[in-house]
Amino acid sequence: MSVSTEIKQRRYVGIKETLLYGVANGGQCIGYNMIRSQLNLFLIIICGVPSKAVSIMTLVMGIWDAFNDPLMGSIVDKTRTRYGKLRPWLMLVPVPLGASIIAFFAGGEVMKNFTSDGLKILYMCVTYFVWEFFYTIGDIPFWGLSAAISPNPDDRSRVIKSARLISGIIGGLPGIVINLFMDFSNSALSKVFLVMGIFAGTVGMFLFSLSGFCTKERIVQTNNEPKLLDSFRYLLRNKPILLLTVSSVLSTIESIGDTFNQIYYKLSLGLASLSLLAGIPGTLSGWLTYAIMSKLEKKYSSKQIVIRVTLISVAARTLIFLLGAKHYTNPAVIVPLLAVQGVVTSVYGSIKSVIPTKMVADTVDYMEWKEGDRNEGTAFSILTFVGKLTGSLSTSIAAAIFPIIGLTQVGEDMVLAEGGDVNTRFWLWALVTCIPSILGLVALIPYLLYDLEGEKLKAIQDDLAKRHLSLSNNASQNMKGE
Amino acid sequence: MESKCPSCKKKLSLLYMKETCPYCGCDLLNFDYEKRLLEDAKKAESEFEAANRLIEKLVPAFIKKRIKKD
Repeated sequence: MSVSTEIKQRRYVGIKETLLYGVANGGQCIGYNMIRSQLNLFLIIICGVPSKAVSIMTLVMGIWDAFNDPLMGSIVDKTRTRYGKLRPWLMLVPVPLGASIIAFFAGGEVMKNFTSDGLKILYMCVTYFVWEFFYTIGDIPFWGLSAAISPNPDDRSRVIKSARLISGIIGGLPGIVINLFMDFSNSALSKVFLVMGIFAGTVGMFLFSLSGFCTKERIVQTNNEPKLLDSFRYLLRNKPILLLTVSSVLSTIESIGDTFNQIYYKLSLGLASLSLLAGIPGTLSGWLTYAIMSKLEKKYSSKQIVIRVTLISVAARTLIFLLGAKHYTNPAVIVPLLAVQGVVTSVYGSIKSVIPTKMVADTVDYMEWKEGDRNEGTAFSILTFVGKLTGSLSTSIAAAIFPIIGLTQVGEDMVLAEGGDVNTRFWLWALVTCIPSILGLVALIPYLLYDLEGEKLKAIQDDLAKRHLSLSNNASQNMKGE
Repeated sequence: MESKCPSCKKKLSLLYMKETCPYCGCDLLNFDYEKRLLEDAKKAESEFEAANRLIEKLVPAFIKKRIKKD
């Protein structure tokens, strides 16, 4: 076995480092999930900001992300330090990011003294913009690090799984804590959010900083800094990542079902909390999937896993739709069916949260092999941007479907227009089961064209390992020769 | 956190960010890359071995027997 192949096959990231990378992502997600999931409640109800202003701000920030994310990605790619190009950002950013989270959630107390809406809107926009800015500076290097943490693809896969699993557990806690406070605490909600904000900004950011202080970048980087526009140029020449990006955008359609879920439970089954009951098996199976995923990775390529799991998911959801097609208002039949669907969806979701991220890391290798420069920053900025974009897109698509299936919005609630020609409840059943996944099949087309796998990928990574070795040998011999 | 130059062994300030050593000009990120990777691999292997030993202790005997049979 050649030295370069040996290098690629050894494990370099120990258990401690793998876990700490995951814990860091958990810490990062505490603040992120609080802001994303409680944005409307906090700003409109607690701070008293007009709802139109909140909608406009989120829309403008979504557009800003389209420029901000790739720009930040290319700045990361230009960074050259003795700690690497990603870790310095992860060491520095938790402090301002933590301060911005606290400033945002202090809004409830600060805005009490504001009499005009203009001042409230100003405070909201400034603190939200600053938070979003620093969040991006942390998020892109964090995911970029998954590609630079080891030359071994198995190591990369392990750290991504650790991050997704631990952030899923830790990141979900603030929502539960806030709900408990809302039900059982006598304190004003603005104070509850301030305390939670201080927790997310201090403890959460301390955990996030571990990704900078307790990890290593183990890929040799060239000394030449790419120009700002070079990264964008490389990206356009990187066919595999363009295919992954197109697929991610097309898979937006899969997530529209989430918007209809609560409406279906409420309007068709009569009880929104039944979704909690149906969701329990799915939560457990999602966690278990991370444990068995490495077996799949040994047997199939990343592309094969995504295609097979998608097809199985579509078949299962279509079968569930057919089984419940005559009982879609009967909770005794539907809740068990949706519990089974929850298992399928969470297995699919866990796999889709890891494998495409690992594939982005492969495309970084491909680009370095083709152009000579690694661009983790720009490549992962596309991943983070598309993640944000698909969230807003799926909400907009769902909103366009509401009137077509006979739903109208009254205040904060969705109301069913009884007596119309459309069987709204039936359409809701189809929308929470098979329609999004069948339409989502279109996202597989780019995967059919994706060829960075098997022997081709192996040859590229072997060649890169050789290049890294000779680059490092040159650096060492130059010194020893002197 | 790396605090010494791997070539001249002189101490570097934690806040020193440049990729070359201020004393000997060594490429701090790429110098002895293979050797450092090997050290990391040894460390990682020992952690995995320790974890396997722990799992071995925790997994009940009847499950182990079953796994061996399969």
